[in-house]
Amino acid sequence: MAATEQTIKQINTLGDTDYKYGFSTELDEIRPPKGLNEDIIKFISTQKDEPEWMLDWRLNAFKVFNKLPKPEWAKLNIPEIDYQDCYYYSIPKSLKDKPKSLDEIDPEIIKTYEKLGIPLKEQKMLSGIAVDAVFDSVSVATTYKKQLSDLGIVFCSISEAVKTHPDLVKKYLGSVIPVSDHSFAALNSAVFTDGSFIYIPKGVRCPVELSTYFRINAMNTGQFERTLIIADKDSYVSYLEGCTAPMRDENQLHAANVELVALDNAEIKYSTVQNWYPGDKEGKGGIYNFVTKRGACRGKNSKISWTQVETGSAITWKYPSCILQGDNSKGEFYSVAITNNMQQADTGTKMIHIGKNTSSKIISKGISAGKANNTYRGLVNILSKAKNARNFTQCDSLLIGNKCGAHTVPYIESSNSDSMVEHEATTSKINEDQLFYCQQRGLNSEDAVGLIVNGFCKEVLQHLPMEFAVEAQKLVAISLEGSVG
Amino acid sequence: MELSLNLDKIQSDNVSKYAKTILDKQNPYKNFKIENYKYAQLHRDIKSEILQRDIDISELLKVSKNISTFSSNTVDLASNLNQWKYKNDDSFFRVSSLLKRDTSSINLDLIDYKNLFLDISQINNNIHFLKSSKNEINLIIMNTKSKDEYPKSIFFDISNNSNLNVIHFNISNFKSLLYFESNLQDNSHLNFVSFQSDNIHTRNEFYASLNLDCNFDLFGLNINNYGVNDNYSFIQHLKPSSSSREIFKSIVEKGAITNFQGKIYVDSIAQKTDGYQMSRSLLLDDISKANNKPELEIYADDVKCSHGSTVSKLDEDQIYYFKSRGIDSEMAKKILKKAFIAEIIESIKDDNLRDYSNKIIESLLT
Amino acid sequence: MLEIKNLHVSIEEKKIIKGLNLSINKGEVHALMGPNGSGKSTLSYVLSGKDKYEINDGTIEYNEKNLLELDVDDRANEGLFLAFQYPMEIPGVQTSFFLKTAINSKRKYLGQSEMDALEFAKLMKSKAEELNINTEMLKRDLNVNYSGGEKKKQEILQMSMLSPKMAILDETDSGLDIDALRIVSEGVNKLRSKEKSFLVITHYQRLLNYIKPDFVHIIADGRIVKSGDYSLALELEEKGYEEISKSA
Repeated sequence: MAATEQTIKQINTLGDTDYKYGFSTELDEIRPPKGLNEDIIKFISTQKDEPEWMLDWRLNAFKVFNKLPKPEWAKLNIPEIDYQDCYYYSIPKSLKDKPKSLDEIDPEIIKTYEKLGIPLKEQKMLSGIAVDAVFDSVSVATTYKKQLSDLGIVFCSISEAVKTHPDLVKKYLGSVIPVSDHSFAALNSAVFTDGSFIYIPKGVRCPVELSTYFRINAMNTGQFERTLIIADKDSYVSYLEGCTAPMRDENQLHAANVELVALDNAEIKYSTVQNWYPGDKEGKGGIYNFVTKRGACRGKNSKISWTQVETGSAITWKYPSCILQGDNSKGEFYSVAITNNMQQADTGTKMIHIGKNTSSKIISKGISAGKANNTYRGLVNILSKAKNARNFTQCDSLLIGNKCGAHTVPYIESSNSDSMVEHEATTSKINEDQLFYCQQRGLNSEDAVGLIVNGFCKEVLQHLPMEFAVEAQKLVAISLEGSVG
Repeated sequence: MELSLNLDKIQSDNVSKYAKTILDKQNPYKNFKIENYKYAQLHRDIKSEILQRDIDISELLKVSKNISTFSSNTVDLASNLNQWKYKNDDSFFRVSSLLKRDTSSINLDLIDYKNLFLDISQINNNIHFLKSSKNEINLIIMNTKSKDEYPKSIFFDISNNSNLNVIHFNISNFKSLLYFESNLQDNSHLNFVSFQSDNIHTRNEFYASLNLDCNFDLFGLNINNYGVNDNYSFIQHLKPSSSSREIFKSIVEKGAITNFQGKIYVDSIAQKTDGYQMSRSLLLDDISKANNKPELEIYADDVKCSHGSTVSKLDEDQIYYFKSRGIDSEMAKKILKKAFIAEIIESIKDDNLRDYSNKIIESLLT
Repeated sequence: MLEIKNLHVSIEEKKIIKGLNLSINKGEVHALMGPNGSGKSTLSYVLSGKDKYEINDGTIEYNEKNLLELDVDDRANEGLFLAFQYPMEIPGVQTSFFLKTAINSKRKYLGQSEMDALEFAKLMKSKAEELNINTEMLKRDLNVNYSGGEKKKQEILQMSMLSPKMAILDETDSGLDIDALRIVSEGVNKLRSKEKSFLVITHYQRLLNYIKPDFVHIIADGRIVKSGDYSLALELEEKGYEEISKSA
């Protein structure tokens, strides 16, 4: 049987107040006028006290952006974006002179992060996670700095790295995602505000999870995060990012670029819990999440693993990818994408096999409820020299109700005969018998759905760092509250 | 190559406008990025010196009646152009074939013969088949030695409670561009098997629309082709309880490119749909290429839809097992290739036709 | 019949067999026993000629030929048979068709004419009956959806039809219940003759109650550490691998 009357009613009762992170913080902000032009880019660069090469790079990217059309492959209904009606830089006044220590941070901001459940105070850092928090356009604080620097690990905001590690930034920025890749990538390159920079030196295993929390607070502000992670030979790092935004009626733009580089025998594990404001149940407001994430396994035996839990945003457009250049390198993509109400998601990955004995694994779980549309789009490309390459892909979709859509669009291109590519996909509804069984054992319908959907996603969630797996499980359940009878 | 078509043939302004839009927007000769023609490479001239084979069809003609001379009516162009009911862009092939050729209609109910044979390479028209009886009919469509630069369309209208089996031999063509459209009314059934071999540049489009309690099976086999062998399918489930099953198998070698692009669309009211899509390729060398894009677009929640796709070479462990029993690797490979394609040949229900098809395929298998 | 001298084998640079010597004469049944990872199965694959194994040193002489120079199918046609621990599933290939192809390959190799269909059907039927195999099963795809016991019986059927000079049974007893074990063993015992030799590889002594070996060897860490007659198997049963290996 399809979604029952009751189900549909319950979906409707999913109010716009359900977004737990929807508060905004009253702060004085410094903002240049709306609009996108060379002056704004110069303003951003000046505010950040950037060297000239960085400004030139940005201005060049802006020129490229003006020439590129909007990418159109996704199965998304993206309203025309007026790039001139958007602020490109926002910074709470109290942060203008960057605080030297956490004690100097505006207590309002500290409170905001506390509400989000992100501890910034180092004495609270018992969980072994170093956090960099990005509030609108600037990095607020980086915890654990001393301990990390003793190991030679650089973990700071990208603005800081431009000044302190210009050689690394020059060498790797834009080397995985060329400025001209597509228009969102070019836009980010022109106006990126902040994000994380990580360098793990040779032979170092980063002992703590590194983490960044992004929050869009100001109205009409685009957030253009730029993250660059370099894992030198024989190193390891696990990185986690979380995202929230307040409820606003206007749509807000988030166009991030994330580049990862793994050299010989290095491993990068990158996890995302994305819970931007999805808009209300009529589809008003919400974040446009246009994210370009790409990792290059440059060295032999290197490994890049993406894990994402995407529950928020009005529109998600995101394809964390791996370029498997080094022989024996490995790429992984584990994804849970949940869309409810009017949300749209078109997300997946690209695995480009170039080196010998490269392998990739894709596990994608899409859940669609309400009037939402959820698309998996992924490319597996085996080049003719990628001898002995392996890919396994499993995409499962779950539909809740008959007003939503679930779509699977894999591209499988193989030119090497010693390689093996396997793709499996299923689409089904939530199992009524399982629901009944749970309810018969006393679970209410919401808990039962949460339980079953979490089971459906388990293969992915178990790849999250432990501290976040529990939070992600709750998020999965919350995102679907009331969607099944 | 660029199609030149005469739009003046169309009387109605609206239809002419519509046709112009499709020819412009969906033109794979002009725009190489059109998603539905992503791997087709229609703009490329593929030249090959390969000798194409002569296929002995005498045996087949013994068991079947040749219907190419059967009387037929002409179908009105404007109304045909207007009839696009698919949840997908109108096919460029369909529109251009209608503008280039007349369409003849053949009523299969009027033929009192079980196996019907039609050589479409000898016919310049599009063909529109009608079937509404319950008679068991096997329609064999032969296309061979074609150099046709223009798409040709074959339509099937299958009425309530009716059924049809089609076997399509698309063999030894220099160029062949075919569009198949099947409209299945309630409780109808279509079994379609397409054999493609020894071709240089081919594209086949299979569009099917399924109503209540229908069943559509589509099997494709591509072996020993040269150049580009491109198959595109769009199957829409519009009403509840219908099923579609699609299996494409390809053996690719010697620099050939095999493509399978297929989409299953399930409308929000088409509950209890059962959709299955499988494309498997054996890729035997590194100068050849296999592209697969099996797509699901689903709007109903009580459905069972799955697809799978594999690309690999022959299993080394299986070859080793054969050899450990004294069977040399050449023989082992041939047996494994035959085993790989057996499922497609087995799908033909008629014993004579199955045996005959098996013979042809065996002769084409290297 | 088979003479293995100072055999050293590695796979992906990991040494598995480290100086193994074994000599099997015509008509003899040898049992090779050892714990998991001792190199038992590797030896069976090396004898049958599976690639990916690197022979670092040593010689294997079979029937006065250098076995290592022969390809897998040539070894089989020379009368060397390996009953696999995990028989391969081959979808789309009918079991009877496979058997027929194998028999005719051997006949071709020996310069004989192909077996005609009737003769083959008769042979298959009689051999199948001996092993209590339903001939309906032989119409199914090779090993596909066969139970563990059916697969092992099928291997023994192939063996009896191909009538090898030297048969290697790689843990044929694993996964068999007591009835299937008895049937399989009877099948093997029927083939025993002065002309045929057997190498029975097993983890447990159980199988040797049914197939009584002339010699028993214990393999540990890629070498034969102890050899003896049937009583060695009983001793092993009592003391276990660790103690026997220590005392060796």
